[in-house]
Amino acid sequence: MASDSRRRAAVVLVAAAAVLAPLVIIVYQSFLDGPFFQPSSKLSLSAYRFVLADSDFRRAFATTAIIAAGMTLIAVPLGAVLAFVVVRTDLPGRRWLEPALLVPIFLSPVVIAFGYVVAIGPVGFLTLPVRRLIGRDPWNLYSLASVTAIAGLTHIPHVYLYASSTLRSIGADLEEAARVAGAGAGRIALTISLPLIAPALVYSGVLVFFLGFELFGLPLILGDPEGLLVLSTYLYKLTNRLGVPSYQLMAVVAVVIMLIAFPLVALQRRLLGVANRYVSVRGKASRSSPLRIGAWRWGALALVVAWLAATVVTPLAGVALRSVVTTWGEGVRLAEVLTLDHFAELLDYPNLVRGIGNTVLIGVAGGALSVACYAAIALATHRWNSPWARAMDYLAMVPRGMPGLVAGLAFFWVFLFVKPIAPLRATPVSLWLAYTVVWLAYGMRLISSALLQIAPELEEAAYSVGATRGRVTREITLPLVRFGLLGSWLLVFLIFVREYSTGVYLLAPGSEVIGSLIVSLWGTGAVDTVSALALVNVVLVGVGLAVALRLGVRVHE
Amino acid sequence: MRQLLRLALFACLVCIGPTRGAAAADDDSPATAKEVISAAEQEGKITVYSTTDSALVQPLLKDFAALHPKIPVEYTDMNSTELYNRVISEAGAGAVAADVLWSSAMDLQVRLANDGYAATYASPELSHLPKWASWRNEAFATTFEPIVFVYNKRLVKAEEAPQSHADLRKALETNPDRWKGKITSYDPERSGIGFLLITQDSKFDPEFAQTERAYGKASVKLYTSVGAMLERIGSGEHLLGFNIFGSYALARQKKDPSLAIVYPKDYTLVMSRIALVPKAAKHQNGAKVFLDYLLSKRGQRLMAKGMLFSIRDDVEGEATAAALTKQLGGTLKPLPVGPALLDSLDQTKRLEFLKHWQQALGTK
Amino acid sequence: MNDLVVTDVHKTLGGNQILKGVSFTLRRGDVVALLGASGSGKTTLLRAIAGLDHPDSGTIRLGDVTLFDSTKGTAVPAERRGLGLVFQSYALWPHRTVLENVKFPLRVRRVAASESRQRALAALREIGLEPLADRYPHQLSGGQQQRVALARAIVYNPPLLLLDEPLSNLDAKLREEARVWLRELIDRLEISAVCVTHDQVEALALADRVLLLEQGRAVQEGTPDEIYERPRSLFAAEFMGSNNRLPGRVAEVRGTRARVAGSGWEVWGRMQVEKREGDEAIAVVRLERVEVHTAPGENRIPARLESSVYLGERWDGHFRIGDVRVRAWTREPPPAGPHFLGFAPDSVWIF
Repeated sequence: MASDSRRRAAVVLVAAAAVLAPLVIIVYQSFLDGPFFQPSSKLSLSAYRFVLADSDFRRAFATTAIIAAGMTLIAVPLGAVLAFVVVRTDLPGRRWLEPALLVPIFLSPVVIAFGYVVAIGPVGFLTLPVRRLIGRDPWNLYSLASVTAIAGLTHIPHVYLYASSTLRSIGADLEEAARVAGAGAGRIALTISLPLIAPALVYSGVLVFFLGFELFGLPLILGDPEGLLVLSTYLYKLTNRLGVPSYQLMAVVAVVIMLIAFPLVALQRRLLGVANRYVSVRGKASRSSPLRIGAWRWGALALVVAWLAATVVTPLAGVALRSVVTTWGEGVRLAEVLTLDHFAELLDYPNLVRGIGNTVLIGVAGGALSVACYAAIALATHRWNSPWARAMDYLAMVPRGMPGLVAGLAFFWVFLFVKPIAPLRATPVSLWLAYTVVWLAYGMRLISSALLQIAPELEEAAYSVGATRGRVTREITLPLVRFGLLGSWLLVFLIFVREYSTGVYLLAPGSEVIGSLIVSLWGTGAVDTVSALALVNVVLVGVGLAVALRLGVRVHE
Repeated sequence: MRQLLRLALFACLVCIGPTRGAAAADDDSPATAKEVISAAEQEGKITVYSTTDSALVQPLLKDFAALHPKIPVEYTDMNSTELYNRVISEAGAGAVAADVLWSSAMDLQVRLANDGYAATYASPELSHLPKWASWRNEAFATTFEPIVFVYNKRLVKAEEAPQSHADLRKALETNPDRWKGKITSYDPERSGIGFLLITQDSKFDPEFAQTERAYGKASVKLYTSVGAMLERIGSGEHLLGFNIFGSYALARQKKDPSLAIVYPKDYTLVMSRIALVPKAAKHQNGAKVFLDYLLSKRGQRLMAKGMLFSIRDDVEGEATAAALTKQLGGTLKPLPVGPALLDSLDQTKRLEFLKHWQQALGTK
Repeated sequence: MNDLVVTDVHKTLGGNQILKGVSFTLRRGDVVALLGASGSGKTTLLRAIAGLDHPDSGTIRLGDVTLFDSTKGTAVPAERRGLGLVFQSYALWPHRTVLENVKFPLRVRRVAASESRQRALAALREIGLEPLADRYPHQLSGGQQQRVALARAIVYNPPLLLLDEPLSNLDAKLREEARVWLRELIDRLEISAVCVTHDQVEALALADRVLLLEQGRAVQEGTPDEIYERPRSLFAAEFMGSNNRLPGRVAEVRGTRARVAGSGWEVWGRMQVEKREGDEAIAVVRLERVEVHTAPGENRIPARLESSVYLGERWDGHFRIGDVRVRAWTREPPPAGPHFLGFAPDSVWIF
């Protein structure tokens, strides 16, 4: 038993080292008055004094908090409702709706935001006709409310994922009992299903809130016109305020966000503890027939389609439109400006094919490796009541909130200054490691919940016949969660494909990915080519997703 | 027998070598010293960190490869902040990977040179560059890019379009409703280049204080990326942008016919992309070869073709210093490569300027 | 030679003391039933023997091997104890066929593939399910799954078999057959077994010795016959069988017998614990020991018949004596006329 504990602890330690390395550098940097690698830098609290006294920081913090809270309040209830409606009821068309629901996860937020500008911005192709109709501006895409709403809607899939997989694994007999007792779908949803998926909702709620702190692409594109400042775009200010990038100031912002992680995770654990009392995952996992919700099905379908229209179709339409026109907006007659030139330019773009190839490689192979690591850590903390396991909860969440700008630098420094691993910097390994650490909370949780579905007796039976822990893991535990693993792989693939800022300093020529190509192109102002590339990206991933789902890989069992 | 053949071969090459070199001096190829070239060929691959987009640079890289097939180039483009971060971090770790740094952030490049990161190299091509275009033989201006106004032709008539900074100010003051929320530029708070340009404006615009306030009254929309600005001007969300890089605007105009470009008549700022060779670069000679290429007539001609505005006096074409000087003469205000740029990096001065700016804009 | 010796085992779970010092011994070849209501600690005790949960204190020895000793810090993990365990839920691995399930323990012991296949098939043959070797667990009925679980537990010839509520998931008819079959199997394999159950009929049928547990303590240990016929405590008396309970007061003590009197009745019985005249007492008598007569007599009490239920193999008559209800089982329906319930003094236990 002791050696088993030691082995688990070893895995946790390795994971902790990978997570702590960038964090420690950032914290250390925040207490200096210059770059940590310059001998002239001294320990000082000047960075904290500057940032905390800066009214822009306070403003950015407040705005970020509001957006994060708003996002969570939108995403969690809607995600839960969507999950219930798709998983439990006889919603028409739910088989193809499900993959569509995942689309926002793999769309780059910059692309989404920009698509909205084209579609419903002040001179968007949907805005103009409406304005002509009612005589004034119908809505303001750049307001805090709009940005919060879009952020919330685009994060619904995160909640949906956790909620739906929990719903699927919970024995149907608990809800059947309510049906027999005469409860209708609504009552069942509220009084039975909701408490049962409470752990998933708590977890994803906290995750979404934390993702709100890291939000970058959306506020970058949509925040500028009204001067909406969030923490990540405030970092831009810090970069330029003093002329040369001041790492200590950026580090302070990152530390502040990290500090928020702790009470958040504590809250999450508390809520999970309460919620878990009501969950008995042990119910018979037989598939029961879906709940008939009668006339409500069309209402539910309308809800789902409305969400898809608002969150997926609208921005994609914007992007698609932009990719086939030379110019757009007020005073433009669409028929006159159609062109396929942008796609032609795209094909000429150097390294495009290589970029796409790299992206797919890092998504597929890198994703698989990451899932293996997440599985190893999840297994190590599986059914292990120990402070190590609890510490892992905190450690997993913290990197998630670091703004991309800071995360990128932090990982860069880790591979520059930690001499033993420095040779890895120019290899794809560094990029992969950065991605894996940043998405640790996400991937690990997916696998942990799959692991929890296994009745402990199945593992105990193996122990009782003499199998060692390694064998039990290999032959009993892992095969039983293989669908969970495959599903995680698919999701991690989707996320890695759109990732960019975390690895920006670790990219070398030859290892560019679609994300970096998009940002490069954006930087030159070639928005049209970006749109073409984004469209290609969406189609590629969409096709990949469809193929995977066809082949039986399912997001959950 | 084999020895003889080898000797003969060597002799042939030696004979051809100098002829090629001589021929090179006749056409537009760089005048790099032969020893430097052969040393560079021994060194192998050079790495270039640059802020100039790879697509734009492709013709140059291809040409360089044709000229120096034995000196492969690994070209990485990134934004100017990333470049700076990378350079000082790598230097701090003793792992300098770049051989040439080519950035449009003039202030940061000069800062690097000032902080001792740059190697000294008296490029033979310097004679064709203006005096202000190099500093201590450490930092070199490679382009001559005008900073222009861009406006939406569909929504702004040519007669209405301001032709100078003074015009713009007057237009904003007399017709606020027309322009409110419809003009755009870089945010000097969040963009290094934006800050540089605005400080230059404050030098050359006699009524700068008023101009600032006019911007504020018109609720100028401030961004960090030229792409965002040009996109919104093209769509008509904004009508006009100022302090826009002419090279981007021209490139964009080719694809989007609704953009019109104005070279402000009272003064037109000129920015240059600065190249330097890190002192700790591992392939010093290769770097020098590349630098010379960038400054050579051959290289500069290709840059002009790509709308990058060459700086050499002897390059002909639309996007060249020569053409601009002919068209605008003394109103062109280039930014000299030198310690004056460091001024803008002075923290107190910077914060002071920004406070002033924020007050004028009414945001503080 | 004693095979399994459990000494003074304590276990606290989640703040509750589940086992408060339980000891028992199992002789080689015996079947011991751990009998008790839920919460009595019987499953915890079984899991402790299996090694899945370690007690807080006590010792567990199997032959001359110490499986657990809190004083010495010995705690052999489950996978090294080499015992056989059949779970209440059977815990068959759903992603493996029946044959693979049964082969698994042999593969763990690195038995060659062909031999393990043979032995697994032999085990399946033993339980009569060889034709189902290539099915998956979800394709089997409950009873079949139980037998496969059993086969998996015995295929490697463990010295001791542990069974957790082996028959509780089976329907009534099956249960009866399974009882017999299970005992026959255990005898045939000459294996020792510890069986946890809350069903006293199951315990009586399967076990050589029964350990009755209440609230984490062993209340009585003995052969089924001893526990049933000679309960040493009120709890034991009432737990086994179906009983009548007559509360009253000791009116007279004569040797080992005493007379208990209530309102409108009195009866002679055997004292199971020391009683004195005037003490409060409870007379317990099994339903099948109550005789229904139509005339008064020695140790008979007049009673009024309230209702009688036909149960197929017997009649269950409900009588009233004073303020006490007394039930009696008879083969024939209760006769008409005045009723007198007869109690053989030795069948009446006084606590």
